[in-house]
Amino acid sequence: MGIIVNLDVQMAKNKMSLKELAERVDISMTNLSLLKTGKVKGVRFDTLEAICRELNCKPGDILDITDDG
Amino acid sequence: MGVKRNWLLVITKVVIDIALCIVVINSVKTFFVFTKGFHGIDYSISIPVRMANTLERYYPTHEVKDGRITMNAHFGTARVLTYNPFPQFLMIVGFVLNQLLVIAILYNLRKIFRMFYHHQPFDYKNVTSIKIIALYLSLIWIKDIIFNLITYSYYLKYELAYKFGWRWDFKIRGIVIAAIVYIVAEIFKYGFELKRENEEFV
Repeated sequence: MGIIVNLDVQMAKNKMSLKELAERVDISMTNLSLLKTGKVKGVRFDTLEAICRELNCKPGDILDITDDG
Repeated sequence: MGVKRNWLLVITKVVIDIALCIVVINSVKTFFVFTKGFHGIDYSISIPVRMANTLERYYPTHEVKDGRITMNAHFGTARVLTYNPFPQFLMIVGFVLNQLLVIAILYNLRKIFRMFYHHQPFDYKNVTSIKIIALYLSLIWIKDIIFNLITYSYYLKYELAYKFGWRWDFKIRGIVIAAIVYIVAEIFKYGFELKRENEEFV
């Protein structure tokens, strides 16, 4: 089982670019890109809270779990 | 985000840079002084000695088989005049080894402070540099033991230890300092791993 990140879906719904979201959330574009592609080990609660606030969504809209089997 | 500059760090970095330059220049100059006229040159070497109380009243001179040794009680030094090049050769080799290790230690210390200056203390390059410093400190300790053994064995041959009250001391502080520096390297390695793990969280 793995965690998948649906950040790009929420960004498209809000018509927000990666650069704009990174500036609003106050993290680097590199880290946000890594998060979008699911290549990070974890997300801090304050980062998740900031992303949800800017994209007007809930954590469950961004993070999902999948059964790899 | 502005970063407050640590001026003590800046000053220490500059002092180490200056010290490295001075040590290199002084080492080259001293090397040429020591090697000038190799064989039979009158020169002074400082040997850590324990003086017998009676010797403090006068400046003892002892004729040896191939030279003369004079003690200066006030400064704790031995002035050696010898027609045997072995002591001078030993001194030159010991000096070169010592200075190379000291210069290498200062060079690595300079690298570490440069990383601190750029706010990167927990970098793996620092871990490697600190471990190298620990290794060189232990090499200096080993070199001191070997060269002191050879030196005292050479002079003991002329029964000088009895006449001048010389005694060879086994000091462990060199290897203790090297061990402490190695422990510091392991702490920095742990800090590096914590930093890397922290950077993988966004």
